[in-house]
Amino acid sequence: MTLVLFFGCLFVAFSPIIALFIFVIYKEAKLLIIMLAGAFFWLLSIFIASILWKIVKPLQDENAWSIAISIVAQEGVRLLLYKIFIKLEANIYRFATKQTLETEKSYLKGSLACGVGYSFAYVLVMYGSVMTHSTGPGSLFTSECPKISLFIVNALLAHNFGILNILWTIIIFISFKSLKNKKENKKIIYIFAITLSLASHFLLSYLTLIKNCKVSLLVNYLISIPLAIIGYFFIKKYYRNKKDFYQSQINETQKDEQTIEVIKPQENDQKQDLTRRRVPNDNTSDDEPVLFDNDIKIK
Amino acid sequence: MTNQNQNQNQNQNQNINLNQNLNENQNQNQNQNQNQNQNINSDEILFRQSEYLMRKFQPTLFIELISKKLKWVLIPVSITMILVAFFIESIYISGENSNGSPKQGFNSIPVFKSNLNNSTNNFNLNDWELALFIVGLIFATTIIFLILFKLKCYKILLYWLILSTFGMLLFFSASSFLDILQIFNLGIDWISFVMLIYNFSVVGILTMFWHGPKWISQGYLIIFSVLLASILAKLPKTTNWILLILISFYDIFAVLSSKGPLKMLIDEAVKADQQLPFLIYSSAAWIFSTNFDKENNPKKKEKENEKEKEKESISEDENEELRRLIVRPINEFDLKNENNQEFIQNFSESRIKLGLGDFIFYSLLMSLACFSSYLTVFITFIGILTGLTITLFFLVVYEKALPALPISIFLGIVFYFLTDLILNQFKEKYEQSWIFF
Repeated sequence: MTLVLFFGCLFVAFSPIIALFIFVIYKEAKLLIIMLAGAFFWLLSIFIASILWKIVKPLQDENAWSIAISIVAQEGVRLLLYKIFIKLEANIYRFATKQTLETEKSYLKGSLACGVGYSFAYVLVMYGSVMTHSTGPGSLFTSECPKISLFIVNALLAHNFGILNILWTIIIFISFKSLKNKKENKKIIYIFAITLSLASHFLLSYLTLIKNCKVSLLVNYLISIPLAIIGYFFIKKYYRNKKDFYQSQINETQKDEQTIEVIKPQENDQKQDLTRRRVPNDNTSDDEPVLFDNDIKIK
Repeated sequence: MTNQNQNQNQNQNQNINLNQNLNENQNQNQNQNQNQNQNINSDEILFRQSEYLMRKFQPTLFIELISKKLKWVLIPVSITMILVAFFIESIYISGENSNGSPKQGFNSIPVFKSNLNNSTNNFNLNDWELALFIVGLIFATTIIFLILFKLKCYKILLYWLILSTFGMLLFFSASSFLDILQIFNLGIDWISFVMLIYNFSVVGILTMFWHGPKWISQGYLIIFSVLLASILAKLPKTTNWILLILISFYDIFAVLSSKGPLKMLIDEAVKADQQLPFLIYSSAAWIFSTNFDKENNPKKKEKENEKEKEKESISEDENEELRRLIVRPINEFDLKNENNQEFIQNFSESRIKLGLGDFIFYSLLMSLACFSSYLTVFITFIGILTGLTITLFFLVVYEKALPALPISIFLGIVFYFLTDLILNQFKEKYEQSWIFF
């Protein structure tokens, strides 16, 4: 339906990505590169899935198996992305500063950038080619859903899946990082989070096989909104006490508010002598007797 | 070719490799070798101190400054690619002509077609031979450049450059404009047409080779590469594919091997302390003038005068200099310190430079992807950008002139063929319904 439908569908499907891009990622240049890396890795996963689909002939008829393969590929590559991300961060830090990175730091913005890149490539491939057909003079309706245009249904679903991909990326990054952490006590929560994200991915994509579009949309929203809320509180609780690695040290004009990373002083430095007690300001000379024997003289 | 321009205070001159087809104009921030009399190059030591402090105490800021440079190269490349894809898609491929017939893409330019019965006509080139011919032309022009540069005929190079860009701007913009007019069935009289094209080209030449607002010169560089890519796309498809592959191999040879013409050009430029007259996209392109006559450049002259005054005021007493250097605190990176601020400014100003030939061949690959489907366009776009980031990453690590073409084009071609053969079929099955995975 000409450009009106085109722009409507574009903004509905890409809105979470565009919003996060403008307000978070564009301000720090490093996140842009991480976003590109995320998009690249999603493309790798879908290539793996499609090559398998092409090679194994029986799969080409059944939808269920191809969906399963593609989901497994996506999640596997997400894990690979996590590992590469961690390694790259450490190596780049070491290259730039000749120091090793403290592993206690968390990567909220980095994982967000990975997630945004992942979902950007996802929405682009899944929905982009459909969207470009909407510039024609008409609209497309399927027989299963004669009242809502196909473009609109797909746009809403793409919007949903876009947000969820970001969430899944962040949750999986958090969980794997905490599982690796030896001091962490409650590891079951993170295992539960991983299984929840995987199960929800499978569930939501299999639910798109439903023939009725209204039911499909409704069920999708019923499952994904609680998921998003749970994910939000999970992330909030995890990052409550942690310092983000990408704290804003970027703005040079804000000199007073800047947080400077101070390297911890080496152990050779003289520590404060905590055994020192303050001597009261008495005008006695050295010849007079000292009242307290325990006082240590200040050098 | 990509290059990273270093600080003025440093004595190194980073050089640029480029794609030779286009004569290019470049400006380098050169060190004027003013510290010859003094034993201690205090500026350089201060620079290194600031760099050390920043790397130690503000690592994220350092990384951020480096990645800002990458960002300011990635954005114009993506703009050119999007513009080319949009232009070719809308004008030549999709929709309908003004008379109602569907567009079939443009007719490939039949080059060297011999209809005559001359059996002695040996000038009968295949598609792939044409690609080889083009690469040979590029090789020949770089060698001519090298010879002229060695003979110190800098002015001839510059004038040749200006004339060729002027001619290219005139004819290619006229050709594209005529195509647009034909497709939308519009008319224009020849007087206004000539005025438009002439003004457009002259403004381009003025801003690119002389003073002008920075954004206009950068815009013209982008438009220039868009025009050239859309013209090159009219060649037969096989020539384009083979041209891309051959050009990337030639790039590796020309830049990295010791006998490559580009490497020799760069060495000559370093020896002679001269600028290379090439068209290069630099993020700080407003200081865009040749350095051949240093007196005629008013902007640069101001900077030189200031620097000379500073140097004169520095006393030649070495003890005072040492005292000035040692007094700085070395346990923090204080932003209020002047030296640190200067370091950040100079570091931010030194930009990565990317030759226009790279722009053109990336856009050519995008235009080839336009003919297949929308999905290939998106995927080659991402592939080319990741290839570019990888090359820029290597550039930051190695600080040498590197060829920018091979990795991106290789990735782009691989992604194109994977989508064309496999992913399109995979997608078509699930496009008709709302199956998301």
